[in-house]
Amino acid sequence: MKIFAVDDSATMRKIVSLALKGAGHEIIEAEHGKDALAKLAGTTADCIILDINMPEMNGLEFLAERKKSPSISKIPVIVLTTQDESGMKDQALALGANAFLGKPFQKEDLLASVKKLLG
Amino acid sequence: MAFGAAVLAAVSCGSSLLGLGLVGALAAAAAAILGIVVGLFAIDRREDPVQVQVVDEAPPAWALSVSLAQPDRVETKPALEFPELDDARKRLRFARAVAGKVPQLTEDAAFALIERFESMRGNTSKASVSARLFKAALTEGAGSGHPPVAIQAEQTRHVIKSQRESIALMAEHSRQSSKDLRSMGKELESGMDLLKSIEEITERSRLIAFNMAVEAARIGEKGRGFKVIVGELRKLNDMTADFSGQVAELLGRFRDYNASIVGRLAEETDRVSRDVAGGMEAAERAVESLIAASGTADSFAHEIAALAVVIDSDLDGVLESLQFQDITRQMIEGSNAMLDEASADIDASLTAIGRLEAARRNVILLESIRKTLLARSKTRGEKEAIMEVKE
Ligand SMILES: [Mg+2]
Repeated sequence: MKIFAVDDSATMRKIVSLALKGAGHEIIEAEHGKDALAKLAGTTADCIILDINMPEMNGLEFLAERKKSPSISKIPVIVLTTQDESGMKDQALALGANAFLGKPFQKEDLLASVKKLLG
Repeated sequence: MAFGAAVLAAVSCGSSLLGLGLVGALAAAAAAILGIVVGLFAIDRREDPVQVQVVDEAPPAWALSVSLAQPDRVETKPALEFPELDDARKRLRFARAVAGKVPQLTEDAAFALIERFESMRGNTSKASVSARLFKAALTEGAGSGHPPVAIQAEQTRHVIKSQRESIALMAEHSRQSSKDLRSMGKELESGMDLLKSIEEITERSRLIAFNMAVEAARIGEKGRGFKVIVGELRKLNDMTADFSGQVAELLGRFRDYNASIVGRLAEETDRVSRDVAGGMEAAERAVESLIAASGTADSFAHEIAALAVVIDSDLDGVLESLQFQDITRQMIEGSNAMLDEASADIDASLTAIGRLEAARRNVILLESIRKTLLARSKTRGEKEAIMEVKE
C-alpha cells in the first residue's frame, strides 16, 4: 500500500517510514500540508499519516482542504501529533480524520490503525 | 550557570530528553528578565516627587534627583546604562542561538542512531540468509541439483556399516581358510609319517628278498624258479623305494608351500582389515562431522533469528523514544516564542523608562516653577490661578 507520511520533523517521517516499510508499505514523505497536496496531485495514496503542528499548512488546514477535494477526500487519514488536547482531537475528527494517535506512538499501534483503515 | 550547563548537556549528549532541562532554563531566564522589567516599573509614586527612588533596591536600577535651589539641574542615570538589562539581552541572544541549534543536533543524533540500528539489522538478516542457505544445502540440497548433504551422509553411513560387516565376514573367511590350510598341513605331516613306514616295509622286504636269494642258492637247481621270484621282488622293492622317495619330495614341497600360503594369507588379511578399517573410520568421522555441522548450522540459524528479534525490538524502542526529539523541538519553539516576548518586553520597558523619565522631569520642573511663582505671587487670586495650572 502507498502511504503518505506528512510531518515537518524529518525524524518523525523517518520513524513512521521505518515502521510502515517493515510491514511492506511504500512511503511518500511530505514536509507539510501544502507539500502533501502538491505530491497528492501527481500520485495516489491509500492512507495519510498526518501531523498537526506544521509550518506553511498545518494538519487541520490540510484536513479542510482534503474535505473540499473529491480526488483525495476518500483517502483515510491517521492524525499523529503531540497536541493531544481533546479540542485538537475533536477538531481533527470533525474535519474528517479517521483515527488519532499521540506521539510518542508505538509501532504496533500505528500498524494496527493502518490495518484497520485499509481493511 | 545552570542555563549554560543545561545547554552544554543538551548539545554534547544530543539527547532529546535533556532538551527539557534546556526549556526549563530558558523559561527561568525569561522569568528573570520579566522580573527585572517589573522591578523597573515599581516606582513609588507617593514619595516626594523631588526625590524619586527605585523601590527595587538590589541593585537600584536608576535614580532621579533634583534640587529646589537649582531646579534646572535634574540628575538621572540613562536607562541604557543598566547592566542588568544589557546582561538580560545578552542571555536572550545566547539562549535563542542555542535553541536554534538544539533541534538540528538532536535530529542528527536521532538519524545516526537509526542508521546504526538499520545497518545492524541489515547485517543480521544477511547472516540469517547465509545460515539458512547453509542449513538448506545440508538438509535439503537446495539449488545444487544433488541430494541433500545430510541425506548423502546418512546413506554413506549405511554403506560404511554394511562394508564393515562385509569386511568382518571376509576376515572371518580368511581366518577359517588359514585354519583349514593349517589342518591340511598337519595331514601332510602324517602323510610323511606314512611314507616312513612304507620305507620301513620296503627295507624289510629287501632283507627278506636277500635271505630268499641265499636260500635259493643253497638248494641249487631246485631253487631256480624261486630265484626268478626273488628277482621280481627286488625290482618291486626298488620301484617302491623310488616311488616313495618321489612322493616324499612332493609332499615336502607341498608342505612348505602350504606353510608359506598360510603365513601370507594371515598377513594380507590383517593388512587389508586394518587399511579398510582405518579408511572406514575416516569416512565415518567425515560423515559424523557433516551431520554435526548440520546441527550446528541449525542452532546458528536459530541464534541469528533470536538476535534479529532482539535488534528489531531494540530498534522499535529507539524509534519510540526518538519521537521525543519532535516533542522537544516543539517545546523549544514554544520557549523561543517566550524569548521573543521577553525581548519585546525589554524594548517596551526601555521606551517606557525613557518616557517616564521625561515626564518626571517635566513634573519636577513644573512644581519648582509653581513654588517659585507662588512665593512671588501677591494676591489670593494669583495663587489660585497658579495652583490651577496643570501639567
Ligand atoms: Mg510537527
